[in-house]
Amino acid sequence: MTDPASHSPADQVRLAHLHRVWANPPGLSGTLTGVFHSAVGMRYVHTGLAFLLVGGLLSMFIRLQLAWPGNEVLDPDRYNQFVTMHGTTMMFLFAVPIMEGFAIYLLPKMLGTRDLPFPRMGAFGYWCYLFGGLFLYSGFLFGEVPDAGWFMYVPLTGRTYSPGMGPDFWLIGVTFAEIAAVTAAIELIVSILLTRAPGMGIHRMPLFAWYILVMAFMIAFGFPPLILASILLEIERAFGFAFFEVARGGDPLLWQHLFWLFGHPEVYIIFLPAAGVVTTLVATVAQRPIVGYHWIVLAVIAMGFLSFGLWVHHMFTVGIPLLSLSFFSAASMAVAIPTGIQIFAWLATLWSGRPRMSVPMLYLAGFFFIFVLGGLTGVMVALVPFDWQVHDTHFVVAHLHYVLIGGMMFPMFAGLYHWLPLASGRMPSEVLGRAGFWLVFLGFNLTFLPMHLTGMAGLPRRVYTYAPELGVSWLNLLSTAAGFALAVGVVAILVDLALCFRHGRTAPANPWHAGSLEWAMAMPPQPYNFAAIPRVDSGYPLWDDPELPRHGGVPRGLLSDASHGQRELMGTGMLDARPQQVIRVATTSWAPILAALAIAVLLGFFIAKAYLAAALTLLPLLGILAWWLWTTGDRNAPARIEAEPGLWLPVQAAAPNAPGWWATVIALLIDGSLFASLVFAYFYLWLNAPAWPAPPAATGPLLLPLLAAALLPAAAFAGSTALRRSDRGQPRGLRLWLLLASVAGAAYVAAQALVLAWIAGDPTGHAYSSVVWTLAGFHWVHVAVTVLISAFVWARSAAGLVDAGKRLEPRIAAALWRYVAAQGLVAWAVIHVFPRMTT
Amino acid sequence: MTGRHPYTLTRVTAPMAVWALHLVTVYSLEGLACARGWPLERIAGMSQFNWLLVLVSLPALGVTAWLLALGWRDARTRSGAPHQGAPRRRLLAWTMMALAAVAIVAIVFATLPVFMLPPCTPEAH
Repeated sequence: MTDPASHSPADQVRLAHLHRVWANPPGLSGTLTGVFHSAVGMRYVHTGLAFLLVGGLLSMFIRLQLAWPGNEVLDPDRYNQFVTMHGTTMMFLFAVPIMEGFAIYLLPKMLGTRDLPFPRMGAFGYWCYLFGGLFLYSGFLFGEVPDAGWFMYVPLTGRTYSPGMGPDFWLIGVTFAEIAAVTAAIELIVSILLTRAPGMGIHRMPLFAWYILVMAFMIAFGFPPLILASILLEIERAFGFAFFEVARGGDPLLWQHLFWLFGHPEVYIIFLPAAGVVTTLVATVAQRPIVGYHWIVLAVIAMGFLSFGLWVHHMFTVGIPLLSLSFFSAASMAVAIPTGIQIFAWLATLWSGRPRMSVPMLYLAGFFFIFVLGGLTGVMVALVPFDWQVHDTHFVVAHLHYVLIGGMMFPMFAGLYHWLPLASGRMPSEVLGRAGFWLVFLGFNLTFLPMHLTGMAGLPRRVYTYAPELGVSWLNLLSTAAGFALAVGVVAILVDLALCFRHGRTAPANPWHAGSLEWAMAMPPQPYNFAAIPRVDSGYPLWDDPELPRHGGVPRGLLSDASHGQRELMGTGMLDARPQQVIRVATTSWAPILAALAIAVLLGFFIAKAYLAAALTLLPLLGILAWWLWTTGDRNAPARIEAEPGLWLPVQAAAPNAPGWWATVIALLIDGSLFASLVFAYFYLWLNAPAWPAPPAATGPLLLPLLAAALLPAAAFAGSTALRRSDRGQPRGLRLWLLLASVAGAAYVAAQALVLAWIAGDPTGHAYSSVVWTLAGFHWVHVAVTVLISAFVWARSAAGLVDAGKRLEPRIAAALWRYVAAQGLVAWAVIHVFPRMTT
Repeated sequence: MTGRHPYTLTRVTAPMAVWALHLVTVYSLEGLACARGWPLERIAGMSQFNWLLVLVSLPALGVTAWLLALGWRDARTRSGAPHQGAPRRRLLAWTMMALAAVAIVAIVFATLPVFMLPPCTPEAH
């Protein structure tokens, strides 16, 4: 009997094809143009660790300054800058992106697929993250460093109190970097829902994927409020609009609401992937399936929702009525239920298994200890009266570091050690790993435990020094000394990890005896992950079939033939994971990095107030995007492809569940959340305004707005008719109706601009006019984008790349017209109908 | 029995969406009432407005309780001949039921202070 894992000459040929199709080009150009998920994920992790070191360095200066009262390591201005940049770096440039990097690197491997469904978008997100981070830090070059705290409260960040460019570097740099979170969210959701290995039904999906799915949806709903707030504040600072300035009808609390609508879910966006790592590792360490799979799914979804009901608990001291505060205090208590469920499920798994104190387990133990303490102080500050006592003191600093370092950094280190053999093919050093752990664990606790005491004694946050009479000098000195031990520990761990890639001993196959699919592949993985897409019938495929790693490299089965030269993924049903489509994805390209560079140049011109140059930069940017779209996937793919002998499936352009379709749906959800935040801002500003509209703005006659509004359903109708014509095999009809939809959309924009110029007043005069013009402008941008996409589909149809069978692109254009019409009608009603109802 | 209600991810998460809607509603009403001076006369020991909040909470509790009952029924149903989709369906039904239970607890948590605190009292410290 022949060994199934031995390679016949036919296998060798297939493997050579797979290598040729999937391998990244060598050298620098390969690094700049590579889009494969392993490469992109590793870039995220490396860059995240680099920002961890920079953010950590800033915190060392902060600790030196606070080591003793009256120190002069940093002057007050520099101290404010370092505190701001430390928090901003750790939240936006380290914690969120590095966990996304983990997900991007690991998920396709765990799900049994070859790549993420939008490789170029993944690479583009990474470059936005890197350039956004560099943009933020470039403030140091110009002596314009953000210094108003990581939450950028107005009025301190308004033009009056921050006339420099520090806040602009923050607002633009962070928003730029957030593009990465949004693109990663879309890509991860679509990947988890549509590209799981055949047989991996939703009931046996790895729990890590559940965590990432919920995290990605949280990004979709949680990031838009901050993006919107940043845009509003930047418009106010750059163009003199009024959203937050009280004298002109604005409200500074609007910023706090929008910021924390993002800011609290953000904590869970950081925690959930880390908890996913814990769940995965706990089962492996205990060598048994996780206890309570159902319960954990429940807990993850419940947390995803409840964490959106906590934002006001950051605002207990701003003067909101007690009853309102109690709603959020209640939700803050309720979120302890799903957290508790997870912790008990983990403990039960460890209890009933055979855990070994490996290095990853050591970090898990550290996680349990620290995170539970952070959670308990969280319940304390969720109580309104207690929060009043410790608000803005070092008690809160202690709490948030226990939660974030305990809840995110310890699981991250555990995960790094756990998956290091997979990425490097080598084992980490036990001795260095353990030494690093104890340094970090003791250093951390001795740094932050004393802060509970200094906080309760009254040591305020974000103040560069304190009086000796406060009696907290020795505790601060202890914090500083221990902080340096923590820093040495972090560096030791990173050195250990780096050394492992070169000097570690070769890892055996599946060194931790894990049960999940990523260990069924070569170590380090091949550029195509799996030579043939595996079929799965168990939650822990490797425990049920320990031979799987030997078979994973055999190119026999699903999508093992790459002789056509295209990168292919298997698309499966959302719940049942039955094969549904073959997804041909894009390969190496300059488009992602060039697009991100164009955005960086555009934003550079914008911050320099060279608005014309910024607007002109849109031209190359649109050119790059058009080129990207035109060349993505395989535009000449046949409508049906043989995935394995006898199994013919549609290519994505002809499949109902095309990834592009679902990416559009998720993108519109994100955009809807952004729009809802803007509508919220409108009503929030209305709530406390004495007159609405604020004179000289007025409502005006309704006739012209009514006539204009009729153009919106007309555009939606034209878009849908275009799709129907395409389905009937009438490409000319498709193009004509797309043109008509664009004309209707453009006519609406023109008509509404006329009306608003007449009635809405000067946008820099009053918050009413500012928010009305912004609401209208927001919608106009959407009309413009939809016109451009219609032009793209028009060109694709003219080139013969769209037909009744391959209907994905006209389908997306039609959906966009419906969405734009609906959004426009809501904005129209808010602008023209609502003020009439209230006067 | 089992094929009657197709379980989608949207449907499974419906109880939490009801909770979110309830929180947004009571918080917005509170903001409106205090900013716009809604009537706050007391009836049976509580202000009219507090009663309004209780009234708003009842349908939210009703819908989540209904979803809980649906999930309970479907999670317990074992079809005579076990078919391929049964474990998947049971997971989804069970998750909806349990999420409904969490949502009920969270709605009750948020409604309890309505019986204890007057509306529109600013913090006092």
